[in-house]
Amino acid sequence: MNLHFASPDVGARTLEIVNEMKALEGPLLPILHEVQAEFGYIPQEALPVIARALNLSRAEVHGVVTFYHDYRDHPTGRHVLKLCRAEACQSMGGMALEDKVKKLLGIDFHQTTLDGAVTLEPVYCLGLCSTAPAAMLDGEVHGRLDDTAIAELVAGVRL
Amino acid sequence: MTVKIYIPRDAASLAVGAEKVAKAFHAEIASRGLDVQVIRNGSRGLLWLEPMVEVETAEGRVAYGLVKPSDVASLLDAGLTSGGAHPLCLGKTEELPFLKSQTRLTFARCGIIDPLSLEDYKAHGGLKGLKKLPPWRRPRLLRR
Ligand code: FES
Repeated sequence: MNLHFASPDVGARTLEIVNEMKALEGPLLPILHEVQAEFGYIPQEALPVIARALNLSRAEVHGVVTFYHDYRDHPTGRHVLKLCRAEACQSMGGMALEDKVKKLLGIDFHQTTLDGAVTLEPVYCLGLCSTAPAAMLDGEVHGRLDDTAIAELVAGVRL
Repeated sequence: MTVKIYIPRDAASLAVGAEKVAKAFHAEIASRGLDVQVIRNGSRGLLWLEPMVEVETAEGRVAYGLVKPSDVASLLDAGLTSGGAHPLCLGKTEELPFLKSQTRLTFARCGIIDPLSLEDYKAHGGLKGLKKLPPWRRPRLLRR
């Protein structure tokens, strides 16, 4: 399981990650993925370390991090539920599903339940249009969701 | 002879439960002591029928669509391993109208080959291009 709080040695751990990966072609994105996998989000303190090691400006790194919505600047709940809001899923009842999930969890998009169990995020197409409406829970994909299926998913993460 | 069963492992199939279906097959196969190999392939593209399970028979592949884990026991009871009749049986995969009316190029082998088998890859034309290289430029794999 990921650590969801930046430990005091964010800089040191980030530098380790950078050193392991900087030989890759186009290393910035994989490094950011790895940093997020390590800390659960991308701590501010990691940015100057990455910038220096890759000989980029801090602004460039910041630009990349904020461009991709997948990178977060704050910790999440223990689980992340991403609900698809793009066209195919909307046409298959995604909006109703969205309301249902928000009611079940008692939160809106970009929020985390009070017990720290789940963060709800919107996503714009998971490439699962043929099995819409779709969602992704902690990296696992789920399609053809209906009220029962989504309630089961939610129950599973709130245990 | 070992019977081959194909259960897709592409994202769409996984999203509709292919992993649970595969687990159910593994469990039933083990408890019945059947000589069956489960191969995880790509989808044949009939995503509305996923999880679609296929079995290799003497007359070609036979497909079963929208398979749920709870169907696995009854499918095996109905003789799925030899393409037996069952309410979920779709008949021969190649005869399905959706596939029959298509000429597949980019996805010609998707769902057909076992992606983890080098032999299967070679049997379907894999490595042919590399073999045209002069011997000294061939990757070691091919020098044998
Ligand atoms: S629109 Fe939801 S997966 Fe494509």
